[in-house]
Amino acid sequence: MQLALAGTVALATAALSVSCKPKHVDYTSTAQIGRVTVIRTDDKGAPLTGDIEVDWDDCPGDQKEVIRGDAAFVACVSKLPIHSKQSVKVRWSSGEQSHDWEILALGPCARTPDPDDETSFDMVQECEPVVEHGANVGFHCNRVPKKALVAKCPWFKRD
Amino acid sequence: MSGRTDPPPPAKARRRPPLLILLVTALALCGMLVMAQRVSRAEEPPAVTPKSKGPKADKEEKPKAKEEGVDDKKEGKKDGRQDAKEEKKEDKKDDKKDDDYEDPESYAVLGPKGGVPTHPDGPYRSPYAHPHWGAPSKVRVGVVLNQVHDYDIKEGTFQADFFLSMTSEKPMPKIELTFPNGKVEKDDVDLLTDKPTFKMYRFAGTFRSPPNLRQYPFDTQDLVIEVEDHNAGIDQLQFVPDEPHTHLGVGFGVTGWSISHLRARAIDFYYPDRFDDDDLYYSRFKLSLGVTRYGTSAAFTVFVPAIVIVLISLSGLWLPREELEVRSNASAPMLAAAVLFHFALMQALPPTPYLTRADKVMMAVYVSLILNMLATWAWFIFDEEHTETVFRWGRLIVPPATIIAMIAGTLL
Repeated sequence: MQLALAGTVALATAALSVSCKPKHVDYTSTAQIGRVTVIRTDDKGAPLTGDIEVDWDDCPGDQKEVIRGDAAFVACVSKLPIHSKQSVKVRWSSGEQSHDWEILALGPCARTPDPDDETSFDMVQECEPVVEHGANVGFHCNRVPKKALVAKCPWFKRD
Repeated sequence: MSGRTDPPPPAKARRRPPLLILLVTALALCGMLVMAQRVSRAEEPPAVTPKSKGPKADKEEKPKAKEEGVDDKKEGKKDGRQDAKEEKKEDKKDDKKDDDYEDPESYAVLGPKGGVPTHPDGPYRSPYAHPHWGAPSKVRVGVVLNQVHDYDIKEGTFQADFFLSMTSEKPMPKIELTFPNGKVEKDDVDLLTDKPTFKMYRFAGTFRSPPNLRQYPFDTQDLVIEVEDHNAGIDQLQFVPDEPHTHLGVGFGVTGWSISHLRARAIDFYYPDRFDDDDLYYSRFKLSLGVTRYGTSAAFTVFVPAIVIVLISLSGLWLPREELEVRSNASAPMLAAAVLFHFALMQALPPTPYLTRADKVMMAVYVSLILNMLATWAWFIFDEEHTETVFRWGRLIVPPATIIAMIAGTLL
């Protein structure tokens, strides 16, 4: 009896630890470079940090994000043409408290995400016009990823 | 057979029901009273919110926020005499521009019998219409929400801090923005730029949106910010939502809620006639932020306690008939717990004229508890020789009925 109880507790503990363990999945896709903005430079004018706008053109809706990168990443991306399509390596991860994705590489440029970064942001939304009595009176942007979006671009999933 | 393990004598057992029934009935009545109190509170007529519309009615009291905002902005951004001179020139230009604005009331015609002055020539007769203005200015309105906080679902109020930009091709009329569903103190209005075809504001204020709680605790609420000009009707000013310039700020979030949607609309709003020939429409911009309660939190707040109450109560069904007193006591305290839990849930919500999903789940809990108690009371009603049958039927009927009731309460 005691053995069965101990076994049950051990199994439950193992199941809990497995389910709570952060997991991540890597994806490869393509995206367009919207803009490259150097934010800070050193005394010689070389970029230290910069923002790169990434437009997920292949994903349904209007998905874009602005990622901040370090000197090496900004210098590398600056050499790529604006509005060019580049391959992207994305890592989706789910922790105990949240889920998120990070761009690890844009074209030939590797990026090291900074866990303390508060400046990168995304606008994941699917917008459609609001029509009343045949007249366009506004817009409605859904911020919860729909099935079609998650199917095409799974790193946007929230669970 | 020892006296200690004997079932209680029937005569003694039959003396208990009145007390138990009294207790349980009192608790059930308590639950019903709580529900009735809620419904009666919901049926009270809503408080009337006075609407200060009536262009120019309180114009004299309006803060000179625009001018103050311009001064603040310029003081903060420019230094030196040269800049100061340019600033003065710009101020003069702006003043001139304001002076150029023709007051539509000044050329409204009074009828032969007096009364309300009207504009007989234009499409609108209202004294606030402006037939001399020409085609209306189509103003694109963009909003960047910096913060939404202190959302009080009981009052339906929230605090918002946001930028609002207005852009047009044709110069705009005199703009004096008001918030029909909110209040922005004059110290919280910052006019960053004031040009004839571009204006930029920063506002911080309190807004009110009545909550829809039918799906509570799995509800989505719309936090609405309404913007309207105090004077100009749609013959002068028409808002157009500016999608490319409407966003949530970086790191935007509402504590306890996830963001579900952002919606902007421009509606042509009509006030019921306040006087003769009150036929002017007003353009109103409505920004709506959809927030959804976190599902896990909702389930743990409402469903887990309700299910635990039901499970503890149902466990009494498997007690042997010798433990009649224990079984009886498994239901009544749970009913008390259910009533108190339901009462605590309702304290966090405003009165509603309908049942929320949580109310329906609690109704299912009450049904389960009452069925359980009826199964116990049946022992006292039927002869002792049927006790075993009653015991068996109780276990066969109550748990499935509970499951059906809980599913119905959750889904319907």
